[in-house]
Amino acid sequence: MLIDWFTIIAQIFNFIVLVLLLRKFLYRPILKVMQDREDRIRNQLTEAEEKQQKAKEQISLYQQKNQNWEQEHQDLLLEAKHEIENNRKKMMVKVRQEIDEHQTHWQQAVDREKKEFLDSLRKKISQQTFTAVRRVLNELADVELEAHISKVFIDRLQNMEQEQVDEYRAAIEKSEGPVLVRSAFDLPQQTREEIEAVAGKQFLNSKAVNFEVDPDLVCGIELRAAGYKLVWSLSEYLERLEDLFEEDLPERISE
Amino acid sequence: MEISPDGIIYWQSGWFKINATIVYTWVVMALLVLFSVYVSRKLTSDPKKITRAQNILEIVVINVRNQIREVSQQNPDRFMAFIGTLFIFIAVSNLLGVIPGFRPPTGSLSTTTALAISVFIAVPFFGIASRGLGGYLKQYLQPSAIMLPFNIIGDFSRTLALAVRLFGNVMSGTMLVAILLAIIPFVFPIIMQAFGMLTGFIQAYIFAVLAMVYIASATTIQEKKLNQAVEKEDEE
Repeated sequence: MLIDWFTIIAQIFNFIVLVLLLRKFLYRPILKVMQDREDRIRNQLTEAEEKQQKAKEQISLYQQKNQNWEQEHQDLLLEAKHEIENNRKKMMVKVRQEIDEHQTHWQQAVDREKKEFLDSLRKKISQQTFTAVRRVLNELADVELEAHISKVFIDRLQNMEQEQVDEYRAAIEKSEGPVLVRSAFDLPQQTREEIEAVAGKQFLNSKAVNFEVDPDLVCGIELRAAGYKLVWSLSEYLERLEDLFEEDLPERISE
Repeated sequence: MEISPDGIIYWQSGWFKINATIVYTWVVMALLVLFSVYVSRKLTSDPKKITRAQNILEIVVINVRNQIREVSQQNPDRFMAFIGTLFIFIAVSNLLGVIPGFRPPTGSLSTTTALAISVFIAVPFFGIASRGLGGYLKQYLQPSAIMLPFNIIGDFSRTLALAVRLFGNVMSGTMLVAILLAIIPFVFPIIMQAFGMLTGFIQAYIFAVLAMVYIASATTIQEKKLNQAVEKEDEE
C-alpha cells in the first residue's frame, strides 16, 4: 500500500508546523529586514535629494551674493571715481581761485607800488621843477620886471568885466574888513597909488587899502576883499603847471 | 527494495509509527528551521553588512515573492508562508536526494498526498478568507449550475494529480538511480543524479506554481467582477 493514512496526517501536521516555523524564523524577519532596508534607502535618497536641493539653494544664494558683491564693488568703484573727479574739479577750481587771488593781490601790490613810485616821482619832479623855476624867477626879478607885473595887474583891474565888477562891489560894500593887496615885492608908492585909484574907481569906493609883502606869491600881486580874490602871479601858473604835471606825468610814465 | 520510504518503519506502537518518511521530513524541517534561525539572528538592514547566508535567503524569498505576484497578480505576502514553504520543502527534499542513503520524503505518496491535501484545504481557506463563504461557493456554479459536479470532480482530480505527479517524478528519479546502479555502476548514475536534481527542482517549482494558480483562481474571480463593475460604472 503506497498510501499510509497515519503518515499523511503526520505529514500534514509536519507541514503546518514547518509553515508556522518558517513564517516566524524566515519570511517575517527577512521581509522585515528587506522592508527596513528599502525604507532606509528611500530615506537616504530623500535625504540626498533634500541635501542636493539645499546645496542648489546654497549655490544660487552664493551666486546671488557674489553677484551683489560684484555689483556693490562696481558701484563703489564708480562712486569713488566720481568722488575723485569731483574732488579734482573742486581742487582745480580752488587752486585757480587761489591763483587768481594771488594774481589780484600781486597786481594790486604792483599797482600800489607803481602808484607810490609815480607819486613820489611826480612830487620830486614837481618840487625840483618849481624850486628851479622859483629860483630862476627870483633871481631874474628886478625893478623893471616888478614894474611890468604891476602894470599887468593894474590892466587887469581896469579891464575887469562889468558883471564881475558889480559882484565885487556888492560884496565889498557888505563886508567890514579892509581890502588887502599882497605882493611878492615891495610896491613903490606910485604903483600903490595907481592901484588904489583904479580899484577905488572900479569897486572900492572909499575903502582903505593895506599893502603886504609875501615872497611866496612868486613875482605876483594879489587883491583880497570880502572873500574875493583878484590875482596875477607866477605861482598861479606854476600851480596850474603842477596840476598838469600830476595829471599827465603818471600816464606818460606808465605807458 | 522499498518503493516508498513509508515502508521503512523504525518504531511502531499500535497505530503510531515512525517511518523513514516522517524521520527524513523532520531532518529537512530541522535543517530549514535551524538555518533560518541561524541566519535571522544575524539579519541586518545595512547593505554593507549583509552575510552570504542572508543574501541567499533573501534571493530565495524575493524570487518566491515575485513568482507569487506574477502568477496571482495579487499582494504576495498573505500567500508567502504557504507557497514559499511548499516550494522550499519540496526543493530541499528533492535536492537532498542526491545524498546517498537519504530518502527524500517527497518520494513517498503519503507526503505528496499530504501536501496536495494541504493545497486542497488551502484553496477554500484563502478563497473564503478573501471572498466570503457565499462568494467562494458560488464559483462552483460557474458558468452554470450544471457544471457543479464537474467543478467538484475537478477539485479532487487536480489534488490527486498534484500528489501523484510529484510522487511519480521523485520516486522514479530515486528508483532509476537505484536500478542504474545495479546495471551500470559507474559514471552514468551520477549524470542521472544531476538530472534528478534538476527535475526535483522543477517539480518543486511546478507544485508551488500550480498550488498558487489554484489559490489565485479561488481568490481573484470576485476581484475581476468588482473591476468589471467599476469599469461599467465608469462607462455609464
